[in-house]
Amino acid sequence: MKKLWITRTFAYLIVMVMIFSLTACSGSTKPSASQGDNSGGNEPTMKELNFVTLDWYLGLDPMPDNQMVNDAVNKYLKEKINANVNMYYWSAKDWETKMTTMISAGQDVGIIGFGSQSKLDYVVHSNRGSFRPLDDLLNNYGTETKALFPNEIWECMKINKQIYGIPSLKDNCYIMSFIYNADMADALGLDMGSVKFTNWRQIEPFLTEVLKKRSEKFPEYDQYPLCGGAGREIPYNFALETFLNDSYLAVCNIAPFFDVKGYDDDTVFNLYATNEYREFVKSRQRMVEKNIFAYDYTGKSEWNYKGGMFAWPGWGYTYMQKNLYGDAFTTKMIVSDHIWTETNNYFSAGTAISFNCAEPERAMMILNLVNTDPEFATMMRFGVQGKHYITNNEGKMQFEGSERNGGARADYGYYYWYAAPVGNLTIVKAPESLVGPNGIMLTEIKRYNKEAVMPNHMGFVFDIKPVANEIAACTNVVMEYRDILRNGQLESEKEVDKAVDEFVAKLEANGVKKVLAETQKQINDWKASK
Amino acid sequence: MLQTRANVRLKKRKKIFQKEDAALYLMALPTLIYLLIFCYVPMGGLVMAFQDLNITKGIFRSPYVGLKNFEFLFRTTDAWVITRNTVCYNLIFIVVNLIISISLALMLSSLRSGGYAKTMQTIYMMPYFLSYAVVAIVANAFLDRDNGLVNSILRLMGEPGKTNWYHQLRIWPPLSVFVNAWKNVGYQTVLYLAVISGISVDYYEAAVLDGATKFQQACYITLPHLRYIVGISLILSMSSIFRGDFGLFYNVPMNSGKIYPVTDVIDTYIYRSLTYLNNVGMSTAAGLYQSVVGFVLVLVVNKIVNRIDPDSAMF
Amino acid sequence: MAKEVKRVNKLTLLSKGWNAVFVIILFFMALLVVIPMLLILIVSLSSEISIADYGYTFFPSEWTLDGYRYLFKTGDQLADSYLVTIFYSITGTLMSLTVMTMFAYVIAQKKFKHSRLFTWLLFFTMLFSGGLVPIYILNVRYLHINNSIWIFLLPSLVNAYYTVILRTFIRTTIPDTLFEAARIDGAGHFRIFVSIVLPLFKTGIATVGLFNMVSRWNDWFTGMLYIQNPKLVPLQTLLTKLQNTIDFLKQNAAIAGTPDGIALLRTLPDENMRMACTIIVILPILFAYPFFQRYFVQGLTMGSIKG
Repeated sequence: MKKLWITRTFAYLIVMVMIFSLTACSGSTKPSASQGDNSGGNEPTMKELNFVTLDWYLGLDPMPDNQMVNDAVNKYLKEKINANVNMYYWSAKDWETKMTTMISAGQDVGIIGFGSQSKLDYVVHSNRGSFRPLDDLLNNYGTETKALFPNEIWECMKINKQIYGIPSLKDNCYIMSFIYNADMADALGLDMGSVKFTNWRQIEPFLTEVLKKRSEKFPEYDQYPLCGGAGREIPYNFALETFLNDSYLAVCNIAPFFDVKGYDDDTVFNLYATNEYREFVKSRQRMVEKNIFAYDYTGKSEWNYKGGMFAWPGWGYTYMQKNLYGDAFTTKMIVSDHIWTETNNYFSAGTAISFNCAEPERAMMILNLVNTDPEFATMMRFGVQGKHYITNNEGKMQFEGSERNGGARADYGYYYWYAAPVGNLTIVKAPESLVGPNGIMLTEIKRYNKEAVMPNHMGFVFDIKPVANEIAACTNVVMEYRDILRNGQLESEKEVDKAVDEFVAKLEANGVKKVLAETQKQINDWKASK
Repeated sequence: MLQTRANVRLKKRKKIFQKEDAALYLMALPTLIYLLIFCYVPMGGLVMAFQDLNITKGIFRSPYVGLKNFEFLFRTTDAWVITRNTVCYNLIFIVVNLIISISLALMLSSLRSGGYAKTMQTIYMMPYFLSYAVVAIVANAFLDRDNGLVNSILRLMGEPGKTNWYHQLRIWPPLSVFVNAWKNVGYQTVLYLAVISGISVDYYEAAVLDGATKFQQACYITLPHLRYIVGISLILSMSSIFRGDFGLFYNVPMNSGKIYPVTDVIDTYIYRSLTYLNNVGMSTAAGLYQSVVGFVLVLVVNKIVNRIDPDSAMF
Repeated sequence: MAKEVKRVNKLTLLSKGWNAVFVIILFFMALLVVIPMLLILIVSLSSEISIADYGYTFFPSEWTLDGYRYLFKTGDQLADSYLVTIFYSITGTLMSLTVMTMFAYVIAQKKFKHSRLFTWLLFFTMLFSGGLVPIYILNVRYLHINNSIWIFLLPSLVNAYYTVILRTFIRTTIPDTLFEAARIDGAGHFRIFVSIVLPLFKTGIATVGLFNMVSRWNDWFTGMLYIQNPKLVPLQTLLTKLQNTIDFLKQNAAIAGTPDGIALLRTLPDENMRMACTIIVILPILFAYPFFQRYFVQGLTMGSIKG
């Protein structure tokens, strides 16, 4: 019958198409970018290199002169290794959707930055095969880069026994500091030299004292909080080893700090269920009530420049510029006496190569250059000499007087300071206003890296797969409670107690104990196999 | 259908229609090709919901894990809350927006001054063009604890005016309904106005001659004419009953955890859970789950509407 | 004849009392809309300091055009974006309307034996979708339409929801008798479609056309995901990009303590710019809107098609 066969044909066609699409979409095959052929097995010598172009995705916000600097970089790279790069600067929000889609779709994404700023989790993506293993490439084309870190660090970068990324050499430890308004400190008669700073919980009594003095001497500043926000539990308030990103469901003490009593440095525990956490949240509530910290600090960054505030949290500063927040006052800092590092820190910024990169050898060469050649590293941060910065008569770098970066920072053409996703920070040439006389900041970074306390489980990477559901559920609970607790936005300490009880109970109901048990098991196995 | 001579002749002419069907196939062809390429082929990607996706192996060589990707949707103590929120809010939005936009359409279409009606209608359209991020900011301008207008006015009246409205559970359900209506009603009114404008004036003339009041005209002529579009709209909305208004619930509450019990919907839960896990398989599974439920509901509602008024049904 | 119509129309007019009541109600509803929009306009003209000190207020302490100035700094880019968006909104809508109205006509035929099947095929796609990744693979790897104007025109060619609405319009505004009369006269479907159906349901087309155009105008996602070429960046994508950077920093205020954060904070566009973005996106629509409005204006003045 005519009716039937038409319907049947349609049905068959649809089924055929779906099957066809299944076989045709044979997943991740040909990469889309670059031209030029793959040199196959033999390592090409410099003379044999043919011209290739790669993509490089940076998790940095776009600036007006990105193209100009890209051209300069290309000129430099062509000379050195006969290659060009297309650099893509994407802001964080774009990156989140675009990059994950591109990677999931199996696109060749060339060189990519990973880490917290780049919103690509190193562990998750290495496990998922988004990155290419780098062991061979490092040994063949990246020996200088390999030499930047001791072997134990490279062991840390191994996921499933292979290295998937190059960490950026910057402050690879938690250098927390107390940045303060030196002018106000003088005006209030404070002896900052005798102040000890460990973390933001420990310094509460001092802050209370300062608040009182400020109120007496400068009542007009009462509308401003005393300090800028420092709500994050780790690393501003606790020095603990973390095994998850963004939530502290599974953490471990670090010897000799032992910030949480009752646990040794081998037992995994849930930070949110501890007494110290409860006290911490209560102290936040107290401080917000007194206006030591603002009730709602978001969007109020203009206050920083007014001169009415006293202190700010610093993370990663080894040298404090004279005027961090504009010309209204001078800034100085006290570095914490607790400096530590952990595996997650090395995962927080670095570069990797796409698993199906068409030119992995060339990519590694580029990465090697950016991590070892000061000229390249400086170009990536500050752009082109003459246009974005000049060398003054004393032979030092400065922005003033340059064509594109001479005015207010808001009008700069190209400026990425730190630019952690790019690579080695310590070889960058920067003006003294940023790195201090004789680049002391960079030398200090190296010193801190060496002296930082290492936790017990350096190199251990937690595999979340067995407890992915519990982690998803618990993360949701964490997001529900943590902001209001750590920003001190509850009405009273009684409310805090209630909320914390609820929080902890809900975590238990959602399987946090299972997560802890799994973490502990994996740690024990890891230790046993060492 | 009346048994006119024309109808009788029609029945005999069925055969001619079959030849002419060729023109119909041709007219439908572009859409069918589009559906095939852009909708049915990518649908093959639904297999990811059942896989543990490994990028190096690709979609079709990654291992299958059965229903494991769906578990995270149910293994949370909040599973009931988010489902309840999603469905209830959607139902309320549909009903409230329907009532308001039809009322507006009726009022606008019966005004004496066409110019006034046109201006008003243009004004009501404007919120539709705002992104929810902007709506959230505007809402914040009213609700902010320190600087918001509501608290400022309260302070002027002598109250302490220090409540953080983002922590008050009770105001959020009505507030969400209000914001959703504010954003969408003006736009929906257009649809109903378009239908009203198609109603033949003859009906109204006859009604007036019979002495009907304006109100009766609305009840017996205008509203019945709207039932087709309302029926279809309802069925179409059923298909997304499990999809929460992500823009609204993610942006406007400003991520305030305290009001999650009344503002967390399935989509926001999925987004938060997967931000870090970044698992495409799990997000595809979540989407599939929402689609299947919507599908079943559409079939059910369509059947019901079919019983009441076959012309208003989808199929 | 005209006099009669006028008289009848007078009879169908609302009583003055009720009219006044409606006018007042509608006015208040308009206020509900206008006040927040006014706030947006004012914030776009407030200075950053005023916003930090006093939040969003109708009476900022300091007025400035900086929000717009920053926006127009992107200069050429803004003009390009406007052009591209206008182009693909109009072209895309025309293409869509052509294809969708034809299909709606087909599935509106109750006598057509496949109309149910076709409706199902259409509707099914509204419910089930492979998700972003398969569509991305299709567009980029197989069709290669990313980074070209076609990405705005092809994937959004048919919208199931609007097509069903069109079908409803056809079914309700065009009586069966008209169809059958035409067919008895021997007219082919296509002729019927062009000469009878299209003119009669102009309102429906205008409505769906408006919805379609607005959704293309508002779409920032396609541009963000697929476009690299700066000449093809749509307006909303450009503006959303600018706004998103602010969001990121707001959410990461804790990290603002790091050198990267502080440098960014100071160089970034501000709240007033974000509001300025909103204003310049709405304005063109407000200009284009009256063009569509006259098609369903009959609904607003109660004169309509004679059956």
